[in-house]
Amino acid sequence: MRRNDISLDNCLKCSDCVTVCPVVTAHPAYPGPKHLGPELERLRREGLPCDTEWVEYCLGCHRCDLACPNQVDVSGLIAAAKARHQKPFLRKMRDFWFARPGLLGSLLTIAPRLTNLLLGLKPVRLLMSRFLKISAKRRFPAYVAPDLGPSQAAEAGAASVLFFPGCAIRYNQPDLGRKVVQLLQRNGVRTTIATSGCCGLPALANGDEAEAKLRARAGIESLIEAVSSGTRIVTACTSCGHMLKTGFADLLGDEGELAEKSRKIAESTFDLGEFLMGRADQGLLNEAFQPSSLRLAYHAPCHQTSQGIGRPWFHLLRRVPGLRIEDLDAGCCGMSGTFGFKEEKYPVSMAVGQRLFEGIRDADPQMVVTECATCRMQIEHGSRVKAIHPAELLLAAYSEQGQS
Amino acid sequence: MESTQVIIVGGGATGAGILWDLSLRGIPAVLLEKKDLANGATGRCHGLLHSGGRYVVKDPEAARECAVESAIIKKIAPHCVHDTGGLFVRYPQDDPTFFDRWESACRGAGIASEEVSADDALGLEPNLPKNILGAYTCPDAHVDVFQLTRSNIAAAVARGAGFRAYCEVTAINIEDGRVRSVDYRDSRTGEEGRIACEVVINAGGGWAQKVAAMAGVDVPVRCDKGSLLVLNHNLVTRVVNRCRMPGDADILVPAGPVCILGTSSMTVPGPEGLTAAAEEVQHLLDLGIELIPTMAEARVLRIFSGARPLYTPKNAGGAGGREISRGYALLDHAALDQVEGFVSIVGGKMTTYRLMAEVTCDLIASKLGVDRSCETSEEPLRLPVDPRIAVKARQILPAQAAAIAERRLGPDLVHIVNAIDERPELAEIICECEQVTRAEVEFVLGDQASVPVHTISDIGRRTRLGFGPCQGTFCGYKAMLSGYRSRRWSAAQASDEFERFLDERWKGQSFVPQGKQVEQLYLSHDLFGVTYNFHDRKEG
Repeated sequence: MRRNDISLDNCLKCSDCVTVCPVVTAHPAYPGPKHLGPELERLRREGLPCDTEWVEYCLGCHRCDLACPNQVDVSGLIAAAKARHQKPFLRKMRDFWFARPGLLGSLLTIAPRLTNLLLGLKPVRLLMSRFLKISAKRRFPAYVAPDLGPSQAAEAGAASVLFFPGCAIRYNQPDLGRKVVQLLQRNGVRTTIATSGCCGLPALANGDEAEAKLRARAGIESLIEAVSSGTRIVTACTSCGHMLKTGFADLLGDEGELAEKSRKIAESTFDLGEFLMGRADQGLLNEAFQPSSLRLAYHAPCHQTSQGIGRPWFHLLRRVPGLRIEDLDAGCCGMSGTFGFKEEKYPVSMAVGQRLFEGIRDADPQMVVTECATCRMQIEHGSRVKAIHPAELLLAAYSEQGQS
Repeated sequence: MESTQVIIVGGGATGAGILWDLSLRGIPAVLLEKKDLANGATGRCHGLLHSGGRYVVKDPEAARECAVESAIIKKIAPHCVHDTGGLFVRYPQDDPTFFDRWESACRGAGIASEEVSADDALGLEPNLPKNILGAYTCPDAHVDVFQLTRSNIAAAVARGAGFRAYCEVTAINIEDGRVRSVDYRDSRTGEEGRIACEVVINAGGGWAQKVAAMAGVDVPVRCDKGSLLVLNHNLVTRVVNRCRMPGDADILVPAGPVCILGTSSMTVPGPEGLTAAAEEVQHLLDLGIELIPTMAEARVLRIFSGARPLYTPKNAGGAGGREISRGYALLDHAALDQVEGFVSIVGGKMTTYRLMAEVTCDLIASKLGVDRSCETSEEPLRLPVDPRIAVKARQILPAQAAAIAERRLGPDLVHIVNAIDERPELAEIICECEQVTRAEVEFVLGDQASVPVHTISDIGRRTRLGFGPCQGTFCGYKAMLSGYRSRRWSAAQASDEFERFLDERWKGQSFVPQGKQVEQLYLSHDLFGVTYNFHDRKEG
């Protein structure tokens, strides 16, 4: 039996998934994950017309999957429905590009300065709002010529990992990528940078299942060799991490050999924080941190939560003497990658984020820490507080003496 | 005393078909049913509208009847039929000589069939086993038996016929060798009454022998139990038959959102109190897995058993259930037993219900001197839906709910649309599994419905409420509240109705041996056993 069929049969209609859905809370008319996932899929098998625009409003946060006591792949069923959803032409065009951050990034970084200039111009943004339904209230992240620095050849005796940077780091924040490499280096780990393209999650989120499968296949092919020889993969983007850990297997789980390979990759993939926490448990973490007086608030991205690894970065940062950090625990930020950029979804995106924005206001931190690039955009947009990747802070916390 | 010309006993497909046929001929009639419509064999079958393929080798005459009748039903009641088409699949473990016999018998009986290669068959139905040898197509279809019965009754009621549910016939009064009247008791209120009539038609199905006995006549009917498994979703999109001599569990029918596997065959003493033993369920599942291997992992929702009423006249000998003809018999007891005005229609199949009604009504018409021939093969059972109303329904309801409501309600859709227009909260989906709106539940509870309901299970037979995976766990109480708020039931009645409904749903699930449905059942038990104190009042 195909995975979806089993998943669909598992639903007991208990509504646990509905109670944790951030969109249900923010938008009462939203029919919720139970209906959009297993319920509609069953009726679709009967041949009934089941297309609904609501499937577009699923954030892909995977909270429903985590809440389900019966192993229903709720969000997977919704993603499949999203892939079948008929969209108006303009939105189809827009989502084509949103589904392909790799392609978009490589084009926009040919002349990054021109790109940034154009994307910053008010008339351009208004035109994009008018014709591409991309909200003019959003600012695009700056594009930077991709430069992640050289890979470091593995050394005998030293730990080594394969770093999967993902599109946001590759095209928008390569300096963060270089810092990840330095942070690992400080901890005696040599890093090779994966040449893989986009992980495919944005394609899935934008209802482009074919592209997502293509990306997943390419991802598997580019990673399997290293993984087979025992190398661990490290991600610093939680969405890429989520995709490597569960997304590949969800997409290709019915395809024999690829399913086996995707399971291997899943087992070998670690979030950077998870990886360092593992080092800490073995007493291998470099803890030569300079005292700090920073007052921070931590937001756990949904795709971090969905990995089921606890909150490693929150605990890592607490090891920095003097540093104060509060776990906001305020649910989904509402950005969901490209979701928040979409004109028609902007109000829902902001409504979902309200709880987080209020949490940040109450905590009143100097900075918000979170691993996800689009969570950071949403936090800065909704709360006007600077948001930063935890790896940058941890790297900055090392004293000069920390270098060996 | 109340009077009518003809009284029909039994609200299955045949009784309903007779009521409709008589109303078209202008003969006043009342149908009395001891429970709700389609309570007997009609409501407890696959819902397979036979193309005739199943009987073509063994009983070509019955097959020819099926071929003609199924085509007629597709024409007169398209809203009840899901014209899925069917496959007769050649399995390597079956007798290969049968395949050729089947093919040539189909040609002889006029059943349209084409051979498809194994690869093509797997393309059509990917869940078939990979080792099949090939398949033949046939015009099998699924028919919603509850809708079909209801549509016949509703159409007849619109022409002035009477339908009374929960009205059990207690006596057939005969004077001077002629039927004069019928006594009945309302099993819900206990009220008793008498209706004078000229003719009584016994369409009692499995109860036909009992009904006949009230007229002092013996109609030998053997009840042959068949158990069926309901699976949670469509494992196949066409009717899948095993191309072999009819046996156990060799048909899988996609029946709306579920699919139904059956059946077994076993002689039982009567049509009531049927249960499926654990071994029987396992036997069905084992054979089902041969038919469609993925069934091994599929969720079984419930198990139900029905009794085929097989007519066994004395000269039939000691043949078993599957050997007895599926043909019907019309018995004019005036000629056979010197009881004027008493007629029994027995045996047959759901697919041929209309033909059975036609021959019965031909006899009645000649008895009553009415010179109008049968029109049921031409007259549509229901008027088409006004396209403007359909468009409006799609605007106020989600696509799938609108499609379901349109198919089910037909011209009555206008009542739903108007009700939601007036009170938008009625658009709420109260049975999520089957997408039934509060408006529809209130409609079938209300006076506008021509075939009224009395219990929550009756609502289910009209709307499929409670028929899905949760088996009434999350919709039963909402239906109860609808009944209470619309003042159909008092608080005490409403709560009793809910209890009865859940009990019935629990019973059907309790035979499911394993898997998710057992968890579902326990969830339901935990919710209502604890919060509703069901277990204190009655063993659930």
